Amino acid sequence: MKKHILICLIWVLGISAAGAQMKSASLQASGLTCALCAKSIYTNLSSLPFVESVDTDLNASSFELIFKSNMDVDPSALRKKVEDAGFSVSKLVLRFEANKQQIENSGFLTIGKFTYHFVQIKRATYDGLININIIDKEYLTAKDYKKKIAGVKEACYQTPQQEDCRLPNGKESSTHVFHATIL
Amino acid sequence: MAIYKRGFSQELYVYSDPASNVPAKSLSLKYGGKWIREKHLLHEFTTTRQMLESSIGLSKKLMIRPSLTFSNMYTMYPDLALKFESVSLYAIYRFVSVDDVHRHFRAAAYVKGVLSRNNLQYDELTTDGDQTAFQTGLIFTQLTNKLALSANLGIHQVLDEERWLKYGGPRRFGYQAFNYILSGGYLLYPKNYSSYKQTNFNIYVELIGGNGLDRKYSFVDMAPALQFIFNSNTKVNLGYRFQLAGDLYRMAQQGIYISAERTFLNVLNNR
Repeated sequence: MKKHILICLIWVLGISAAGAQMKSASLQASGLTCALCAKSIYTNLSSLPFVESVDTDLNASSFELIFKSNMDVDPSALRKKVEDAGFSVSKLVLRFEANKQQIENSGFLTIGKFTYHFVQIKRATYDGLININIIDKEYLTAKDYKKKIAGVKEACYQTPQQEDCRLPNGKESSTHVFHATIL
Repeated sequence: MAIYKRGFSQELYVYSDPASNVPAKSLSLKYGGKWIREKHLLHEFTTTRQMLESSIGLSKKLMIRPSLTFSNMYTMYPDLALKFESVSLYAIYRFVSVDDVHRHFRAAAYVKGVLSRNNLQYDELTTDGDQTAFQTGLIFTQLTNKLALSANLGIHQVLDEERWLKYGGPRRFGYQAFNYILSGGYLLYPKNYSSYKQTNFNIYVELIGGNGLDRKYSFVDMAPALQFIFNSNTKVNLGYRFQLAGDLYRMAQQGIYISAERTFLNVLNNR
């Protein structure tokens, strides 16, 4: 019974991973034509205040990012930098240091200022580095997004304002929620 | 994780623009030089046009490009002094962008206005500085693996004051044209990328054509070109353009074009 109450509490309040933060990320960009184009993404990503370093795999047009410690990592800022360069994000995987965090399907996790809504995962206690894959429309290819729409049950997945998501207590319904899954 | 065999397609055309722009908040400075051999009744000589351009990415979708040209193409023989010739402003707005891994489709609309010191002397209507004019049109660019194909379709209007002068005689030249450029580009080297410092080598072939809408004429030129990209920021282009077919009165039927362009990324950030 106690366990159930705890689960309910976690579900209602959401989990706030205070102090914990994103360590690194892999970002794949699409629509690229040349090394000159990759360089523009590299330069843009490097200019973000929370980015410590960027390493490029030109052949895969993917970027390995290391984040500065004690700074909030904003996935939408990463996306905007790629789009400013003239391209799109086709895959974004954030690496988060979990500290025995219990996350369940349709559950929330707040990391710094940003809230993530997890779908298509199994309830488990996560410890150590976990791979958080952002699956919102602007972070996938059109084809991958279609596949996700077919697979994700949560109605709020496709709504941009996330009003249908049952948000953690104290969060405004207009709070931006990133939909994510754990790889 | 899947390993993708990378197909870098190339669309940084030498004689035209793709439907893509320079990145937002970035600046690109370009020098271009064109040389032609003019064949007149009594004389044959080489003339040139020297161009300076700066492309500015105002946002991810909008780019503007002010430019200047100097030329001796309209200077009397045998003086042939290089003179300031024209200023122009080009604006391009990308309104469709469908990106996928290793491919994209883009569409953009553009307008270019040119203020030139030259008087109308030829059928061929350009936005290079030959006449005071404007051109507006659409560009569609498709990248598929190693090949980048693009079509630029534009309507050209001469705004030279001669157009509105009423001197009674027959019109010497047309004032309206449909201009088009069909472009193909291919990356030859490197086969696989290892760093931003690698030199890239691209080949291009473009078909450049025009049809007079009021005074009837048509032409189509072919323009093969080579491109080297150094250090992922500096392009050097070499092109040769020649007439394949046409029935127009023009300055020359062939010419060479050399240009160099340096891109400065993210330099206009939040200032």
